[in-house]
Amino acid sequence: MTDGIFMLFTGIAALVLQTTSLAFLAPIDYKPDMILILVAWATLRMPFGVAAGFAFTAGILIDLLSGAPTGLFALLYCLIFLTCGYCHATLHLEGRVAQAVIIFGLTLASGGIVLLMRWISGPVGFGWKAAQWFFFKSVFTGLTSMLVFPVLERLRSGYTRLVGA
Amino acid sequence: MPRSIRDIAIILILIGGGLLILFSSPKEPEAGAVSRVVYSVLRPFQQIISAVHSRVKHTWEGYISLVHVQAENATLKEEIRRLRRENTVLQNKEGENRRLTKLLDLKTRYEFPSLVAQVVGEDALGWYRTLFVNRGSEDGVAPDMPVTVAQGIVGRIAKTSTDMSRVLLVTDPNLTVDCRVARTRDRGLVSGSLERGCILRYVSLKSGMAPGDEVVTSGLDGVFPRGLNVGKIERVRKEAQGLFLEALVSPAVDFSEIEEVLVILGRKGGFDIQPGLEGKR
Repeated sequence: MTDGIFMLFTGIAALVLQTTSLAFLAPIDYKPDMILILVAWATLRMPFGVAAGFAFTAGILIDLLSGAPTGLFALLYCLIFLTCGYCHATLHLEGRVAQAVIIFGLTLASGGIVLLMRWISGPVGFGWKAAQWFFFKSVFTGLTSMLVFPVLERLRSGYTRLVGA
Repeated sequence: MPRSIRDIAIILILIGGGLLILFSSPKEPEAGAVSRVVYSVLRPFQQIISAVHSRVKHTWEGYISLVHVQAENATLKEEIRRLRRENTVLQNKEGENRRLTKLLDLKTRYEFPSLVAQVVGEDALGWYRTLFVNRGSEDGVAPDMPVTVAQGIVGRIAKTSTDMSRVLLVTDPNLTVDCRVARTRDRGLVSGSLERGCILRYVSLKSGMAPGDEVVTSGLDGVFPRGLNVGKIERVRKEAQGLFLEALVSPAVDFSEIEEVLVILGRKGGFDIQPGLEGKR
């Protein structure tokens, strides 16, 4: 329950940041996917139910706050949660760099799925510039996770001290 | 001689001598030899004493003034901070005023009702090109309504809630607008591209469009009124199948700079507006 509340508050904060002030820190096209980072972190640090619930709920909210068809990101983040969990179980993702690499890959994959969905619905004009955009956005998300993960861990330890485990 | 008489005699001699010198000295502008010697002996001492006095005086005055200056400095700093704050607020107001004046000008030019809306958010992830405005169905905004600014079209309303709407930008591949090249009057479809900007597709091979030509809405798609600026052609090429020409269009609007937009609520014989919402236009 306490983990759920923690994820609820961090999720809301990340959503607000994602839709407003993050654009001041990074160009809008390249802004990192903070929710994906949170989903990955929840997968590594939270109980299964909390992380899965968070992935789905955050996905639904992202669907509402972006141009994506409703349900796309709810599905995508659940897949990311499962993939990240699998990678953690097999590769023991404890190092920051390893986590960043996985998040880079997951962002690239989610971008690929978004592209695929758009391609199905009509011409998208994909080319070299768009490929660069996908790549660098994923790189930024991976790098941002290296900063965000320690912050989340500190926040969680502070929260746990405050309310108990 | 008693001591008291001697003292009185000395005083009288001195006073008398003084009076004698006073009344017997010549009225010359130049100082005499004795005076010159006295002056030249005294001058260095006077200078030293005067310099020391002056320095002490300055230091003291400086210190005293510094006490005041420090207080004055703090007041001035606070004043500068306040004025800067006011200046920023005024600059923002001025910018807002300029933008709103442009929108008002645009609004009066349109023959259909429109509504000014403020941009309150952007696409959460950036994979799609959308933004959020602070007007919703309560204000008469409905899906498919065109959204513009003074420079040109922004996009169309994709989804509405009671007090907020999502605008699909013209640079998103999901939005297609029927357009014409302003100079040649060739017709085509502009849609967004992931490669940045837009692509004008399905233009006849006979078209004489060239880089630099303006692209405007044709009004034939039932969404955008005719004649609104879309952008400028950057490059023209033959499409992959070779049946049509296509052109890379640079949008007229800088989407990162938009703060207010104009939502066109309806057109003559166009959108149906719910009764009771006229006052909100």
